[in-house]
Amino acid sequence: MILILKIAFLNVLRNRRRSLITILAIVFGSVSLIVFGGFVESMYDGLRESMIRSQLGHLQVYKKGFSEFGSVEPEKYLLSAETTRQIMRIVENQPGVEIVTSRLNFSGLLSNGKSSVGVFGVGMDADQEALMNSSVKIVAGDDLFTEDLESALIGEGLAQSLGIRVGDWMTLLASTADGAVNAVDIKVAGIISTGMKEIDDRVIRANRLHIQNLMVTDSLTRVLVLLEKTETTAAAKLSLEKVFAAHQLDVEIRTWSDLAGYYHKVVRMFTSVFGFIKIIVVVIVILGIANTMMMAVMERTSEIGTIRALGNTRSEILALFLSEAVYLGIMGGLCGIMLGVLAARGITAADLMMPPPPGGTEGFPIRIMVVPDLLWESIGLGILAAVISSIYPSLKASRLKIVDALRFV
Amino acid sequence: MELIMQHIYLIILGLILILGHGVSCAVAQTAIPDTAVERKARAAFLEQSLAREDHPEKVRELAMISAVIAGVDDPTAKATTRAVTILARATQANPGDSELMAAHGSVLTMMAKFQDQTSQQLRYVKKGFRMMDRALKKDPDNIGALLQRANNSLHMPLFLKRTHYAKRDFERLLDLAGNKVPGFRAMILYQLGQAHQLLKDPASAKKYWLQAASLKAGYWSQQAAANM
Repeated sequence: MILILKIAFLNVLRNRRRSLITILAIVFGSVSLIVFGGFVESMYDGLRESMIRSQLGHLQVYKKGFSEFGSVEPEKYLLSAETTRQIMRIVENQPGVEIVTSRLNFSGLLSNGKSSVGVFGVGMDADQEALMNSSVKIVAGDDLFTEDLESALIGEGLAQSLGIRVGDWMTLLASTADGAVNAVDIKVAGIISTGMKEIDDRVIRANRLHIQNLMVTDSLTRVLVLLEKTETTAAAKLSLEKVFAAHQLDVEIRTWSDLAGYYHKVVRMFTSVFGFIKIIVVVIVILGIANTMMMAVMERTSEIGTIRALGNTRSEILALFLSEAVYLGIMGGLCGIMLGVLAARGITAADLMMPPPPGGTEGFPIRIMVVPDLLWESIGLGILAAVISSIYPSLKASRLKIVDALRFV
Repeated sequence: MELIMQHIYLIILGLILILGHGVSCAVAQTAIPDTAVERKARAAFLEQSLAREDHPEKVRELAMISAVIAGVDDPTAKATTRAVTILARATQANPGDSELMAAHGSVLTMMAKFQDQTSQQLRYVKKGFRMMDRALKKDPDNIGALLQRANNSLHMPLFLKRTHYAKRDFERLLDLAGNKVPGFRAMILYQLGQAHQLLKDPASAKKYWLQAASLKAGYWSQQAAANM
């Protein structure tokens, strides 16, 4: 067997042109898979992190029952100030936690004195949110600061619809926690873009204390937790559930994954698309290699006859051709990985931009992630494609009659 | 290229000091040595000195020199991380120093380039800009802080939407700078032109580059002339 492996390796080196064509076909397949797979992975990563860092956090803690009934009667499912403080103290002491902050969500009417628009908003800790919300961009004016109590950030679309400019004073109307109507003045500190048009058309972000004054409450809707690593979300949730239970806190925890329906839809769609493209690439590679291997068998017919005449069996001929295919697969796969990684780095460094996705308002930079699993997969697929496409030519070679093969010109 | 970068950073972090007396009393004074060798030697001396006794002014000087080392002489992850650590210490020792706070923020944004994941890059950028925003909130006319935020904003990728900060800060700097140092004014005019160009306003960009070129004040005037 070792002799066959050695001869197969020498054959690969001897037939340079043929080997090169086969390797190029495998390289094409590997690079395509690495680059497209890396792009898809980067898109998942970007979308996931953007949702986590602009809206959801990794974990959200609510009063028990909020997920089920909170949308109908939000005022009944607020966390009291004391419970919120207790939750935040516990979470801050957990390992792997980057930021803990609390929000008071509300809906109301924003008026410039002439017209009003329905808005949904959030009262928040400006300093913590500025660090948490990597995906919220200030397009005009300044960021929010806790000391500017009456200031607020307004969505780009909302500012356009009301003709709002930075520095303008507006009136914000909302229901208080016990159902009455209240109003406060707000000063527009900045105009923001979240990248999602439907949010930018309605959103207002203000200082938490100002919104608590508006709603006449010291309670809050939720506590948001941003972890250092997204991968630790499930473990962090389990750990917090245990600690909250030990402290007899009547709360529930939802992860970003529970709340990110849109993300899961996108992942499902692109996983199907990537699977389909993978099949097409593998088929193209298999056809390319099969053609080259058939040509090799034709070219080497008299050589096969000589080997058989020297006493080698059909299975040894089969093993010889399949071994050559494995070598070509390994060489092609390794070259493919090198070129794929280079292509991924090059495209990422080029800072090319993609147009805004459906429903989005901003393009995003093309990043190609180098995914280790994908590298292994591409080398595996390279070898598999080389072997599959060599089976028929190898069988054909092994079944040649010695006399016919020796006579072949 | 290295010389040009050195020129830019020294202007950003050093020329502020030349203007300090004439323009803003708020600008703190830190002499940054001219060459990389001198900076390295001065940093080593300050570190030794600080090992013996803590001194807010010396920590400040070491922090500003470390920021220049990380930005110009040795732009590696190690040097930048070190600069962040020293700047954090200096900011603690000099809590009211807006320029130092802005330098801390500026070096934090530099950390982004050593991160693999976009989320981590954004985290550093966001943290860095928040510190610069906070510094300018406290001291809106601090030339050092304005220059750092303006330059950082100008060189950020466009999708981060920081260019309008660069435009606004350079406009403010233009008001504060006056005509005392033509080279400095030319630099601001040139960068302001760059900001307008990125904001897709080529007419304004050309207007500022023309002004910068007409000052005939060396490197920045030449750059502006070359852009037209």
